[in-house]
Amino acid sequence: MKEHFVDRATLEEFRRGDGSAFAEVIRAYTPSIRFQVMRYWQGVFQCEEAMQEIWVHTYQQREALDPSRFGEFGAWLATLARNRCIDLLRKQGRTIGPNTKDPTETIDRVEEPPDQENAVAASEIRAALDSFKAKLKPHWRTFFVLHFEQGLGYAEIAARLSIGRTRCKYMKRVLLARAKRNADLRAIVGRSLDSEVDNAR
Amino acid sequence: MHVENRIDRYLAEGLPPVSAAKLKDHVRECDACRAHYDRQVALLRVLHGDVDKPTRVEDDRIVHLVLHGVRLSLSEEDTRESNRIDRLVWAPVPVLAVAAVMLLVLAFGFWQLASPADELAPAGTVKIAQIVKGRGVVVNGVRLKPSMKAETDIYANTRVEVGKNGIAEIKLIAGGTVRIYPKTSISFAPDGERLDLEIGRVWCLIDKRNTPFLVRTDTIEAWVIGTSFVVEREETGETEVRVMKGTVAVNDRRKPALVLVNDRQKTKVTKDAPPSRPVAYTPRRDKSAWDHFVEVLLQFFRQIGRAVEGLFE
Repeated sequence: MKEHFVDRATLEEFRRGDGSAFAEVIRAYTPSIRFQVMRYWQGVFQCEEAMQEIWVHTYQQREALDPSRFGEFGAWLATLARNRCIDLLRKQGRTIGPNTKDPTETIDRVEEPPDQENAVAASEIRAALDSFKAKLKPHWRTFFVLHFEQGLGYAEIAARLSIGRTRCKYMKRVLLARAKRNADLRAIVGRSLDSEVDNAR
Repeated sequence: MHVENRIDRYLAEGLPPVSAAKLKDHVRECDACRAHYDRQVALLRVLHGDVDKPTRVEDDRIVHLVLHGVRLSLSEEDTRESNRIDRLVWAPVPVLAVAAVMLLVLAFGFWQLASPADELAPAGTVKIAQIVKGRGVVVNGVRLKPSMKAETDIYANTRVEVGKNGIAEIKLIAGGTVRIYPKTSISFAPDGERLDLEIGRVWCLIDKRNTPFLVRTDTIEAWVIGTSFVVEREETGETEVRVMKGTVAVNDRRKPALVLVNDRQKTKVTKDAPPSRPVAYTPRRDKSAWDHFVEVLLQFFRQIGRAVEGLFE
């Protein structure tokens, strides 16, 4: 099976130890690595730690990657990631992963939550965000839309709103503090964390 | 002690590597802080519209952590020290307390040291740079005599023009050097942190700092924390940003479009198009051009020296 996430030239650069190529590889494959890691650890922090370990290990093992098998890079990475997860679990004194399943079982197949459940959660979030936004003053609402909804960085927002980057940081900080106090958003966050724990049982 | 404020800042903006490592060491061991970390990530995801989808900041964080872990770096920004203004935004109480004490000390110092000379300082003028070598240089309409030593102070809003056969090297008070090539006109913004390039070519060697240094033309703005780069604005209206070292963010001022230009890369902005995708660039051309102009300047001074010697023989 051919990989299309990153091209051959990037993989060659990565194998030679180039930072930009490695960054490209990480960006391309982090979603699938995160997917794997989430089967073994519950919290975001622990998942991030595990992902970091996996990527550092991948970099250290890069020369073991056979250039004639670049097409199978995804599979090579998946195996490496799984083995690293098991090593980390052992280090933590755990012999099995969450979901009380054997961590050595296949990790390519991950059960998705039902679509309907996703749709309900999405509509709930949408409603909470709309209500949160409605309470903001126009300038703050614009910032919220540009930063959180459209995903623009400070430089772009600063240029569009004719404000400084420090002002952007300040606005984000204030909005985060307000969001933390918002009952609807707090409830959604609480439920999402509860469901993670439930899934892990 | 719980460090919720630092976690919030780390998740929203990032922290310098050493601070981030310390924070993570704590979170690893502290259940309450780890729970706060997870809650805050979930909140950020909700604000981005999907509680299950990691945000771009999360992915960027992984990239930076891993690259730092294997001692690789994408940009100068990766290793930048904590920004003082950031600290003010994210942890205002200690910073304001320190600032208040410093202000008191400074006020006392000024009161003690005030002298008549202070009263002679021109009102509303802030020295931001100094011309350390130059020829064919006109500052605010006044032509300077050629010089190879620091002589002329540059104040806010100063306009500097360099003629066809001239060059100028300007030392920035905030740290760094700006080299101005022939046929170039620039002016400095009031805070000294911005240089407006009207026409010509400048080579900026900016020391690592907390506030970005900005070079602006009519079409783009390029800013850095500390790096070496060249901005050239042609008469045709085209502007090129060429990076020798570090990373420069180039933004199209007409319609925001941001491009990051790394070591040995350049981007071009034409009249109708946004900054192009960065392509490879060899700094040799700009460096040798500058060396050539400096050599011409030295020859000029040698000729003057010989002429003066001739007068006395």
